[in-house]
Amino acid sequence: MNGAGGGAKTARGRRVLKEREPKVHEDPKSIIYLHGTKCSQVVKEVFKDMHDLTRGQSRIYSRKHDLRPMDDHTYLEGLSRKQDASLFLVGTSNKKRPNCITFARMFNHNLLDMAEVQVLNFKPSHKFKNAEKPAAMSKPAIIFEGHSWDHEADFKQLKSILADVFRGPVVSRVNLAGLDRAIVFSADEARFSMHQYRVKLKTGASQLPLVELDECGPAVDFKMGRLVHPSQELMKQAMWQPKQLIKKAPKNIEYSALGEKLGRVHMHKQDMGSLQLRKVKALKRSAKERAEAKKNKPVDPTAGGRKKPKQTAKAKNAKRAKRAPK
Amino acid sequence: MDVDQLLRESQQKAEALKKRVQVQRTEEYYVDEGNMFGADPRPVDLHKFNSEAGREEMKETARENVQLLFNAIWKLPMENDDEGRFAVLPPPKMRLPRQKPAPEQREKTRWERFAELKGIKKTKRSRMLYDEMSGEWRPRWGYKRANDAAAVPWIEVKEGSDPYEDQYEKLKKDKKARVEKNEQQRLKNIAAARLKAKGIPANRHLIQKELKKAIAIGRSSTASAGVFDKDLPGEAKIKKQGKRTKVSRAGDRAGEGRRTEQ
Repeated sequence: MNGAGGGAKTARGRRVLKEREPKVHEDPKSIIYLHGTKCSQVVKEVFKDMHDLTRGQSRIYSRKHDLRPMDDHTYLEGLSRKQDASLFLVGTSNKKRPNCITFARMFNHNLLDMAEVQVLNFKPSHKFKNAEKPAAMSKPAIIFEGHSWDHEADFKQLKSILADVFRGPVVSRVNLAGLDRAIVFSADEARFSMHQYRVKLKTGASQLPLVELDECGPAVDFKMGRLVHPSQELMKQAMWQPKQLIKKAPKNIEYSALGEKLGRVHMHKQDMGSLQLRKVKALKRSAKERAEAKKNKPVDPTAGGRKKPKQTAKAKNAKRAKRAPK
Repeated sequence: MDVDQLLRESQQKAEALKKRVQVQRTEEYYVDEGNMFGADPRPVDLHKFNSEAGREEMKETARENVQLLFNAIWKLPMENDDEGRFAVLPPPKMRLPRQKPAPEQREKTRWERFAELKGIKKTKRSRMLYDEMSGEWRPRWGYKRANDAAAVPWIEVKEGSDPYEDQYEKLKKDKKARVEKNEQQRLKNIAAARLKAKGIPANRHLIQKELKKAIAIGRSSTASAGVFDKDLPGEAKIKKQGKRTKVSRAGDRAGEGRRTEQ
């Protein structure tokens, strides 16, 4: 076994380690919320609300941890190994950086990247009229509003981290009735906000639904803080996709403009000589031709050894009787 | 009330609804259906959240963005089942880093390769089988096994074979030969695996050498360490392997010579 801390002594332990082994199709990343020795009530409340949004893949720790992730991330790496978690949200608060949340992302239990944000405003979800805890492992719609998300390097990295935390499980299909919430991140130059809305689908037009939103919280305003960029080498490893995940385009299948499926099938050339047609007497070989063909038949030198026993007249008759219709 | 006015009003309502559903945008809007992400790259003024009117405006923008994303999802291929209507999502466009490296691919064994080629799938075999002769369920193998070829009153002599040969003995002999062949193959596999573990590419000569070792180990792996095993016809005697130390007995000249060092 090549799990954490050597082999396992019990079958249960082995099962746990086996579950933790790398997989082609990975489980949703598990998230741990934890806070440092000094953490403001605001950050704790933010964590509680965020934990509701990531329900089913996250754990929230209530004890204080003596850690400053931007200075030393060895503790987080150890925790990642021990708890098999790959996303951490660390809450700290001090005079220089009040209400600070550090997102730390792991690859193979090594730190990949970190992003620090500060909470400016916060309205907890229980203060909203429509507040309702989302179902565990439900997939939200996520909207990124603003120019910065795709054009500024820092925001790009933060977008990747936020997407990782909030996107929920990767699924191949989604129940339309289950699309009930949307998380909207809006960003200007240095700040961004997070709002969650409850989605109501009403009868729309031409088979599309009408979307109506009700804000259900939490609503948080953040300020960008420090960043730790991923090392290119580690990022390259983390982004590498196994062969099984890369879908090849199917060969020889096309779709016409009308949406019809067109397939091309390659066939062997048909042997017309062996085609079974109606037996016509005129096409039958004569006795003379048959005799000639027999004479010209090449003798196989490798064949030989045991000769097929000659059929006796009696056996021949028996065979003939069998073949004849009763 | 005027009928025309009513009709006009309902038409206006329908058009307003259509306008709300089919959001018209001149700017680009990015959709990642697989992740259920939407991206609206128009600049945002976050100060709008400070006023009630601004909040409503931001909410309407958010509504439009969600509407555009949902419109894209509603156009995907659909599946219906007992639980409801499902949209089949394409693979995500935005790729996120994995949490662990992809698992290393174990090299397939010879059997696995063969099974794949032939399309053989592993199935669980039942222990009990129906025995045609007795009409009851019996174990697949072992004592009183089902469909035992030797548990019949007579065996037909096959055409062209020796009529005086004991057919029951022949069955036993054939079985033994099959077991022997399987054993040889097993040892061969062990030899190949051992070479592979050493990092030596398997070649026929080396396999034979390893095979001899494996046979020696296999033959001496009985309760009597191979002493009471019957040799099979045509089987070569195994040379004793390993270093053998000569033990000197007391009074032995050679022994005396060696003891002088003391």
